Amino acid sequence: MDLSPRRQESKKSPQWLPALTVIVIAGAVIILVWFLVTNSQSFLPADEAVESRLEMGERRFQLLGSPVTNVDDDQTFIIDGNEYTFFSVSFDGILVDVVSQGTPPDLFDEGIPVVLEGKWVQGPLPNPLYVFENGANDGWWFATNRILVKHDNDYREDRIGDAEERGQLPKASES
Amino acid sequence: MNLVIGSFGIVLALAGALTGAVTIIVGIRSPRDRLQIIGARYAWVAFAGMCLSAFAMQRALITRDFSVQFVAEHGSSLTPPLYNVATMWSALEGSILLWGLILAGYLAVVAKKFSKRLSDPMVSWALVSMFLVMAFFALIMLGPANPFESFNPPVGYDGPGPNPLLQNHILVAFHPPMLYLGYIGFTVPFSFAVAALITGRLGEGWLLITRRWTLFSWGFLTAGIILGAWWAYDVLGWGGYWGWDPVENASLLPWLTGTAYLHSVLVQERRGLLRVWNLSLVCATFLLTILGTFITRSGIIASVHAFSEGGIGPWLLWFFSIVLFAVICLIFWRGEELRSQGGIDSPLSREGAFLANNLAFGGFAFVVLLGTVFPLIVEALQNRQISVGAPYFEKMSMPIGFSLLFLMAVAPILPWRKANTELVRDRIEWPAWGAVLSLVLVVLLGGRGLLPLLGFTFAGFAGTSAMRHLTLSARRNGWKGLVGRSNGGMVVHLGVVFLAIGLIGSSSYISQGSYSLQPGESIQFSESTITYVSSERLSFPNKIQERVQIDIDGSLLEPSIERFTASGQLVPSPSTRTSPVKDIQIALLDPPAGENKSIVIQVTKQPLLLWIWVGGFVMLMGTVLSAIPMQKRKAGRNKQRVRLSGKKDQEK
Repeated sequence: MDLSPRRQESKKSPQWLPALTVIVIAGAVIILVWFLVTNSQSFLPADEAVESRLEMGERRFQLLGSPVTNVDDDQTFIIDGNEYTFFSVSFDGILVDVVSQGTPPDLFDEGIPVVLEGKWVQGPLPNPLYVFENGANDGWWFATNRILVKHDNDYREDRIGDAEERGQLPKASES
Repeated sequence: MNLVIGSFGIVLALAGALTGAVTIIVGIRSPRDRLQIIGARYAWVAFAGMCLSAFAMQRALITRDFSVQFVAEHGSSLTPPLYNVATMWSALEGSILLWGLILAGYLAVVAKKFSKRLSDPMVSWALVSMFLVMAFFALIMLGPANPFESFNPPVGYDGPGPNPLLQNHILVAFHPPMLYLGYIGFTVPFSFAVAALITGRLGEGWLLITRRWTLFSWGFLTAGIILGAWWAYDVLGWGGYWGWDPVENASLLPWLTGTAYLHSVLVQERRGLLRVWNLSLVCATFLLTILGTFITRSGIIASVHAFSEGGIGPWLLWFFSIVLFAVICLIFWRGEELRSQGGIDSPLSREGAFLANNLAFGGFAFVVLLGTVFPLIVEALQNRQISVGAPYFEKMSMPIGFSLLFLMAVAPILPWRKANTELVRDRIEWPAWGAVLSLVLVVLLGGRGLLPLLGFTFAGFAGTSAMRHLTLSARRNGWKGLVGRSNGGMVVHLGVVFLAIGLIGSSSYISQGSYSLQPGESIQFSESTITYVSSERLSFPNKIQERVQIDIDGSLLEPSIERFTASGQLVPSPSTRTSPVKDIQIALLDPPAGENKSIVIQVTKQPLLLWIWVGGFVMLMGTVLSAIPMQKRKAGRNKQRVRLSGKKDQEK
């Protein structure tokens, strides 16, 4: 009986294999990038979004800002069977008026940053008589149907900063 | 006092880590074994240091010592006791402290576990690697993420407490520690991989040493991810559990490469193949934990969900780059020695299926990584900010998920080396019937849509394949047929099948709507009658709660909105009716307002969602069962098996 270990047969890879591998990888990368590009949106803080209104045109993008006020009943309207909520957001002092389809999520609150998905609209509001309280009211508004509320550890007011302003400096700064 | 103890602890940990690393390196270079043994003892010094620091932080939080800036910023006299403890990991500095504590714990356990092999260069170099990682995190704690900065609180000062979102669900106490136990646990196999590269002992030894460490790290990471999804579902009130946010992706990436590694390691153990691949995977898993931490903590990518941003980004990026460079150099240095003897005999074999599985997991990780960092690439090249939406991840992950389910069904029935058609036909019979029956059952129950039906079919295929394996094993060995790596692995597969069923059902057949209701008013929602019964306002020391009672087909749900006193922030507490068939979740969007106390609610129905959590639990059970060693076969039985030929032998 032959008990010697089995010898590994040397197998030559077919010549076309490297070319096929390159084609498959290239194809996969092209599909991947195509999916990435078609599923990406510009992300602009409110100030930059205002600057690039004309450039953005009808394109959907994400807008970052903080609600100037919380939403009350008098900011919500049912128009043609759809519910719309009117509010304004700001970033770096620049205001943007927003019309949101549907009720904002639970976490929505004054001063808590939100990311809105939608597009610019110039012209009359769904409720043409509405005037945004503390808003821009410049004839442009951001139509959104998706609101993401940011939640992080910097949600609160800057208490340490406030204390410092009142003359209570951190010990480390004093030394 | 807490400041002094805490800072001293971190300095002690840093000193212990550096001294330990240097002592062991000197010990390896000199003929004196004793230095390696002494060096390992510094693991306990580092651990003691981190315990001291963690103790000081907990003491500061519990006693509301606002002279510690972290407590002043994130603590509060109004925070309930459980959440007071969890405040430590609610923000950057404290979470790095938890990271350091767990890492020092792993370091001490490794030193203890290998106490009889401390003079073995493999163990010594692994300890050196761990010491250096420990030193890096201790340095971060003395630099940009110092949890013990001092503050001079004004008289009567009270902090705001942690984000209220982190104060209204018990899972906050468990999700981050579980995640960290997983992330940091991968430091152990990584360190042994580095040690194997340095010592040139590139055989299967280091794999066997780190098998259980990897398994438990993976189990903890799985638990952390599932608990995180559960928390998001139960707290955020948006009806979802996974949003493909960079923070979530950061936890998924090491899980994907870790899962790939757990499979490919079997090929190396059994056939001696995929050596470079395994080393790369284990190093990639560790590196992805660092990269993920960088992505989520640096604020470099916009996320709606970053609880711990700060100035540690550049530190983490440098650390990541240095480790990556070192690993690449080591792999190139050992290039020739890493070459595997032989190759895969046939694609239709267990190793062939594992290779395909690894390509799928690797591809999945690449897709998620690319989608996560694509905004950075675009910003660097075009100087504009973009965001990659969930549809990209969903479209890309679906075919990969289906192929993984298919491979989960096929791999366990294939023998090593080469399968013949007759054998495959024989073994695939049960799973194939399982797939057909699943499809028929789902269609009869009203399931529609090509992709969901395809998903359920693959799930049935994979589930029956795992059940077949477990049934045969249990028939041979009784309940012991459920333990051991292979059998435990099949239990994990069953968990993945449950998870897949939950994911497919809940995402494919979700229905959601918002309704304005007055007391006593009813609406019809997806075959359910929903009635607004009443409302009440409750006051607690730290919050005011607006709670409403909603009747759904005879059972009462009580969603609420809470306004936290310290911050004024509104936090929802949705209420869910769960059953194996469907979840109905009600979130209170607008609390009772006006004289008629009208409310706005969001109702979300998601079929089969419960199976996601069941799947996660079964996966954890399977992980534990995998770690239990199988009883060794008796010699006599082995002899008998050797004499057997054909079908039974191939089943082994």
